[in-house]
Amino acid sequence: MSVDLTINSYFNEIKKKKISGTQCKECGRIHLPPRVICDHCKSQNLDIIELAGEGTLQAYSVVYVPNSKMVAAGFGRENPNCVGIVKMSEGPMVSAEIYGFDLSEPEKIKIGTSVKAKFIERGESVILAFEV
Amino acid sequence: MGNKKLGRGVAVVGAGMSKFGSFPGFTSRDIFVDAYKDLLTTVDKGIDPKDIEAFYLGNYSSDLFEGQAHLAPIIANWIGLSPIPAVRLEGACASSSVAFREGMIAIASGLYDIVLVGGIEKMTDLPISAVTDTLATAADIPYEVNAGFTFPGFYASMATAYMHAYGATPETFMKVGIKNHKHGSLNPKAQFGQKISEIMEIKRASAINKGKPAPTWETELDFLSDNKSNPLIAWPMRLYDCSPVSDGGAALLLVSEELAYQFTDHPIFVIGSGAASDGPLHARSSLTSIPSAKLAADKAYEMAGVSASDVKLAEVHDCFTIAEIIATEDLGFFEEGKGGKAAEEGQTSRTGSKPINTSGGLKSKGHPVGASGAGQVVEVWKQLRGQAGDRQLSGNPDLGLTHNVGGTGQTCIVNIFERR
Ligand SMILES: [Zn+2]
Repeated sequence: MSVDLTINSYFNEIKKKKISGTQCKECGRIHLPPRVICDHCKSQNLDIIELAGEGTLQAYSVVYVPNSKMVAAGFGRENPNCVGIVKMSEGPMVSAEIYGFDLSEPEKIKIGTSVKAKFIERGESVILAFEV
Repeated sequence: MGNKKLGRGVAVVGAGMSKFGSFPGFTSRDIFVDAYKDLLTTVDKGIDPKDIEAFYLGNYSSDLFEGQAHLAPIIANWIGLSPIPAVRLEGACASSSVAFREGMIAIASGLYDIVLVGGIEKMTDLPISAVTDTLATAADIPYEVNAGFTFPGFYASMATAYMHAYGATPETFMKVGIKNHKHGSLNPKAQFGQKISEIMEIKRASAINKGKPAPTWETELDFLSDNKSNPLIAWPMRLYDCSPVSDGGAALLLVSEELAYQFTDHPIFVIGSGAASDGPLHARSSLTSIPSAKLAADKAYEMAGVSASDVKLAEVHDCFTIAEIIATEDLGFFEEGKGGKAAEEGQTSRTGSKPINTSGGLKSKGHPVGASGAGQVVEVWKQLRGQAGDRQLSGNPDLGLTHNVGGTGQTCIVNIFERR
């Protein structure tokens, strides 16, 4: 295989607590998760860059019926998990678990809140989450 | 960018469906037979099944739902159509619209004259947690599902973005559900044949019967705002904001324009079709619209030579109540941010200016994911032919549209139908 950057290589960087994205050398776009081909200009000429881990919340939900991986991690109706879409200060958006809000009043969670990266160790893996 | 027209015209001359619901003990094959037999009764001048040249079946995941793959030849054989080519197409919840489009393209190309398009899903054999996980495989597993999302979570996130941008409230979404249940109460094939008010009275009677204190709901909104009767699934989406887990099948007979009048004096022509794809929700330019739906709609309108204002009725992908509001904006029926208000004002009800989901939609009719797109075509076909029974629209509608989304918009297909 001639592919250096893979889906797993991104998560291997997360394990080292590094948020590793890409920047297109042709059009300047920054991608997170990283890409092998620019989704904007189709260039294969990309640099790997490290993101600062700061962003703002763009959308969120509090999930009362979680997927089975979250159930295994202890979440459920009595202990819901907050998910959100975060816009990184460098530009791209990611999906992630969100911590630090009072989930008993989901209507009070504010879109636009500043969040910063929080690395969660869960079993063998490390997960990129964000906290207020 | 190439020819935007079909090589030749395509008509739908038959459309059938099973009831949608929960059917323990019935497999995909059994359910599809029901839809196919229903289809055969709708072809006015009859069809000899020996004349069907190919079968395009939409199915999302019989592999995971039933432990049975390779479903197209299996079903073709069960309905006696072997050895014609039989192919299964998967586009998540848009699978049977993908199948419809491939069948349409095959006829337009001149390869076939008569094609059977189907959609099938048997979802209720699995426990709800396994259904949630199976549906989640339509999302990006490492980037989205492993980040804690579920399908209700995705659409709920679009809902919080929409509330933030346009000031909608949970009641805005509830009113879409109330409307679709009202429509579904007029559809004998719907999973829920009841209005929310009727469900409320059944639950009240059941509580009293069990010796519990009588619930104090006065209105449908009281019932829908009660955490006990309508629990939160993913804020702000509650149980009655979500389409149900369903079993069901639908079947359509597509023929070339030249042959259409051999089968019926009232064919329904496909005059526009558009399709588009996209990446995960977080990678999009907007969280309050579905870009692939806008693109698919633009292409369909362009091919048909019509605009949003010409559309008399639409079946749209209301897998969640927020999704219907966004759909009506993406299709150009209402301006961005105005779809919620339009729904609250009743503009999208059967008697409103732009009737949406007269069948009850996925919310009330049911959402057997691989059959939902073909099921939408069944409703539009019946409405355009004046055969929609108690829910028939007045005014003799002549132009209808279907909008079917796979995932959160990784796939979207829009088709436009005309009675001439
Ligand atoms: Zn680029």
